[in-house]
Amino acid sequence: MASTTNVSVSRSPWERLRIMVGAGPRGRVPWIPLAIMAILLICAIFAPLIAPHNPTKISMSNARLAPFEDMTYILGTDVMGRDMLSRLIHGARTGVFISLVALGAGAFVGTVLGLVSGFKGGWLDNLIMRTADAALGFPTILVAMIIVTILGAGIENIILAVALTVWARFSRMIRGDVLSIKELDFVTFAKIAGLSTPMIIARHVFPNTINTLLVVTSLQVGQVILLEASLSFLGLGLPPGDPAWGIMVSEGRTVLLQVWWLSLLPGLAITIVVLAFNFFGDWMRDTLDPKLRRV
Amino acid sequence: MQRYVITRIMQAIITLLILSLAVFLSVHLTGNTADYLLGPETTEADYEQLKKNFGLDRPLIVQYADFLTDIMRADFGTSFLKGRPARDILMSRLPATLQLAGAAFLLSVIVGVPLGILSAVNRDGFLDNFGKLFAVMGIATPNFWIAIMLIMLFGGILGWLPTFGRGGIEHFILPAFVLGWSAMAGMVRLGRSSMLEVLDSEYVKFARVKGLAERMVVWKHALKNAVIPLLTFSGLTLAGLLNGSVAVEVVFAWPGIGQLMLQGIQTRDFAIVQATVMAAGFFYIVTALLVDILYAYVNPRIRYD
Amino acid sequence: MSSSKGFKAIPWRFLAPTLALLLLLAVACGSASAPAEQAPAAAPAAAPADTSSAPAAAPQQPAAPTAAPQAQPAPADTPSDVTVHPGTVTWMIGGLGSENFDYAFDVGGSNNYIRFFGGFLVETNEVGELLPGMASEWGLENDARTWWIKLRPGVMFHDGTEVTAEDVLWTWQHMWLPESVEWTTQSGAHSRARIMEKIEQTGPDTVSMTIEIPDAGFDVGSFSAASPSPYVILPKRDQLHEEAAVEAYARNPIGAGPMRLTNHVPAEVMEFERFDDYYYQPGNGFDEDRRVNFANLDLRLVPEEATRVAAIRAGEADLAPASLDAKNQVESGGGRLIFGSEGIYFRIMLMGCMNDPAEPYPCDDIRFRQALDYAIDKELIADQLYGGSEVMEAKGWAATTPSTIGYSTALDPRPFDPDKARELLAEAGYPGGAGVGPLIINTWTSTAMPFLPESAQVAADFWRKELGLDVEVRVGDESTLKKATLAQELNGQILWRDNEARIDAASISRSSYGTPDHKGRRHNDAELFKVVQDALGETNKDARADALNQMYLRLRDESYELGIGYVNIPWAVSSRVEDWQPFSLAFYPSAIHTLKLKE
Repeated sequence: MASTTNVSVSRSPWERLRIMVGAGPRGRVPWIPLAIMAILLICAIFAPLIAPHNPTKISMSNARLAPFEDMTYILGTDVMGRDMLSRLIHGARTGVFISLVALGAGAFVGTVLGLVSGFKGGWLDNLIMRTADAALGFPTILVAMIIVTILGAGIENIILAVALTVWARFSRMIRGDVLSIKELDFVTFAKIAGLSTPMIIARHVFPNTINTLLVVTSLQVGQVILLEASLSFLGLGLPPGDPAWGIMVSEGRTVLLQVWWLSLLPGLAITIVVLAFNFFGDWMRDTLDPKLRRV
Repeated sequence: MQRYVITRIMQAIITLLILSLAVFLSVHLTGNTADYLLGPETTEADYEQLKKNFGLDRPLIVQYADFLTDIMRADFGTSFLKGRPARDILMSRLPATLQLAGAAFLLSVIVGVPLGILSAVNRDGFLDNFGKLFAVMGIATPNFWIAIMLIMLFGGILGWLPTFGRGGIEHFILPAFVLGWSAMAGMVRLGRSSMLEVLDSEYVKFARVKGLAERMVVWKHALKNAVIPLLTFSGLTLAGLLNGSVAVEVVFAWPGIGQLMLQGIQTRDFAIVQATVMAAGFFYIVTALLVDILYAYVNPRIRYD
Repeated sequence: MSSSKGFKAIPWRFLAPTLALLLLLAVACGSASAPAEQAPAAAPAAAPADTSSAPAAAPQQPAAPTAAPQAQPAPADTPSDVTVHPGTVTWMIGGLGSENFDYAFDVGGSNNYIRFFGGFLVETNEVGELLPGMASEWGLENDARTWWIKLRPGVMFHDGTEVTAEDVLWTWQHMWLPESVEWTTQSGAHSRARIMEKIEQTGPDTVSMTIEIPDAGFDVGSFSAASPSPYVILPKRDQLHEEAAVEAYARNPIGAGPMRLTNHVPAEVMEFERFDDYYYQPGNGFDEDRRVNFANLDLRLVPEEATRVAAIRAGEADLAPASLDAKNQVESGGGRLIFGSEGIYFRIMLMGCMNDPAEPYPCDDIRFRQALDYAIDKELIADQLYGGSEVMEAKGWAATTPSTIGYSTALDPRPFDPDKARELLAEAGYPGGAGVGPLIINTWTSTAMPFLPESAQVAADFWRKELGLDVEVRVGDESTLKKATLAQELNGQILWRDNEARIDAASISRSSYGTPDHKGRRHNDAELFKVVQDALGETNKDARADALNQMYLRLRDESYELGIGYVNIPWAVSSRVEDWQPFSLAFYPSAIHTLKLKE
């Protein structure tokens, strides 16, 4: 889809922050999602310090303890006696790590290609956009399978699989922005002033795409976490036993009625976190750019 | 207009070519069917023989050329494992997937769009918040997990609905709900924001000034204008549903393309993987093409981009 | 997308049809839903049921020391009319494999449907013994290379034609002649074709084949129902291989087994009906009636276990492979678990020890290998991970389980003795695990063996804790790992896999222990090769069990493979099922003639 988004004129960082924290058109700050995100981040960063047990420590004599049955294992244990709480905390770390790296890589590649594509136009634009279209039409599961086959199951493969599919979204969005930004007066002036193309892109075009970048990223975090879960369920993701929410949900799925906490706790964790990121992303979008609603 | 359409079609063809090359290379990178068939007693000689039986000993470029000329004739080759034309297998599975995607799509439109519009009209009210929460829940829960819990509850415990398989209307309820719920969030969100935007427009303001009843303004004048972004989004949603239903098809034992694709990938059945991915990609790209053309038709400024 | 100002008049006449078209497309494609793949030939016109009971004629061949028990004459008082339940048994299955009924084109994975459909020359029973089937007699010549079968008269294919020696000849040649490797895909067929000298018809009802190397266990794996590979007899075709004939057969497959295929919707369901003229009945000289007790059987593909469990609970299906974890869930819904004993064993291999002089590995030292073995508490794995001996038993070594030929309790796993393990490790030059480097266990998630990666993790845990080793468990992709094994990329590492149990496990020992030039061999010990070759060539039935036992004991001492035990296969059955007694040593659905539905 081509785009003719009207881009708001570049704002100072301070102005942007002020708008985000409440003076903007859609003022209410989503405190609950923010709190959830903060807890998630704390868990991710300090997982080894917070977690009461080693998340992969097998203790067969303590297998299948229910939550609150034994206070050393507050949220219970799984079929191999591993502590659920510790696994959930380390799972947060895994999820955040995958999202950060995969989205970082995808956003970087996608943004660069989108900037080039939109600004340069011509055959390069065509090539990049057709490749992006093809990437969007290419099932993530196949990408994941190829990577798992070549490199074996593991975090790095999920990251690669996600990055390889997500860049196209960024490219398309950023290109749309660039198309209208490059028609604006200040870009024309910069050209007349003799600034080099990379300079114009870096100084004048890129800063105006940051809003889009932030919104797309915040909305994609949830998708990445869900993707990890689905891939792990299909046996194409992380190896069983790794502390990751998707793996934990799939490990517990055959025992919903007896060992119910196995899949319920990580499932809830996924839902809550994805909800938080979605509400936060919505709010960012409403605040930063009410017109940006394609995502 | 004509020039634009032709350009877009050319672009779509290039995209399909890129996709075909990507599919071809990636399946060949995953090893080959002979790997999958290796038994504990297999020797190198057996391995080479198997590769020969499947035509996998020829140079890659020759295999790709064959692949391209074949798909021109809508021939995806013969499934190594099933020994039947991949196209026939694909076609036999297509109805199941289309049915499910269609039902899920209908559900997401029927529930999602009105919910989005009500949200916009009752901005920040109860309906708005509830609508948003309900819709976002749909994309916030792993769909295979929801599916398994629903199967256990409505099938295993209550016995109200069938647990798996394709059949009468009752077989559609659970899978269509699970799949449709995830598409709903987009519908609600888009319905809401399109509607908000249209309600703010000069056009609607003018209608209000003319003294038309608010109900009339919302449901007739505003809705008409909000429908276009929804329609474009719908097209891509439908294409996405076809692509993204692998996990749901597996859980519900739904005999569609998603399951076939997974099976093909697991067994390195190249013909099957190529056929399913090309079909899904074709559907996605053609839908995007149609949407763009439709869009350009409605909004002529687009063409000059 | 642009601001709304771009949209002026909305052409409804354009939009409405588009929307309608989209919906129509979805609905239309739906209603034209996949028709049944084929309409198999009409039921056979009442096939002759009055087959005179076959007298066991003397074989034409000089009856060598034969492995074949004689067919028993039919006792006159056996009731031949069983009450057949008019209902349908719904059997859910996690994978349907190739869905091809010609086993030459099998591709591994699940091929259980062939066992419902096809007839075997040699049958088996609840303890894995071989019994006469479509062959009234079979045997091995003195050279231990020539096998012959004598076909029972009156055996019927599903289309009402009688099975002839020509059919057997064609099936064998189609599968195993040296040139057949150009069309077959089944890996076992390839390894048989490689050693095939000739296959010929030697009389009106006798067929024989000669292999290049002596193998007294060839019958078990190649033409008995006890084989993991269901080589069933097919009706002969004009050519050994021809594309059109293959397709024609795929459209209308015909076998001689207990169930006749009536409908086949690929990837969804195979519908079978009881074959009244199935040969295994008293009228044909058997003392047992192995025709099924129900009218129909639907084999349905349901890949997800959680869904299968829910379906069993809901009574929508009657039988499904399940994991032990599902036990309570199945029982609280009125169903129960039934175990097929000794279905799958742990195949834990130390790769590339001794056969890579350029690259010395710790596992080159027998003391290192034994240390690994002593450091695993197998009983704990059985009790805690698998929940007790109902599911897993720490008995036997590698492919030997209590019912296999050559098993003795001396083969049972070494006791858990961490002190001895540490001692052996120190003697090998790695005190406290120092100097071993990272030890990698490769494993995969098995569809047949529950908790396979988990068991590897428990073992890794023992090796870390008791031996101070640095162990990494890598859960990979099955076919990638198989290929890596063949390419010897796993040398110095461990492959932690599962394998189907079988009554005569000798053949799996040939390539790894008995073939000096095989790339995948476990060792380079000339004397050990001889031991294995001699044991495999032993044709005398009683001597064979002993020879194999000696061979297994010797191999276990070498510890290139570790013995952990085996797993009984749990099947979930619904409350409708009154009784079912699956055979042991069968990872597949066996003994369906014992399956009874409640009235």
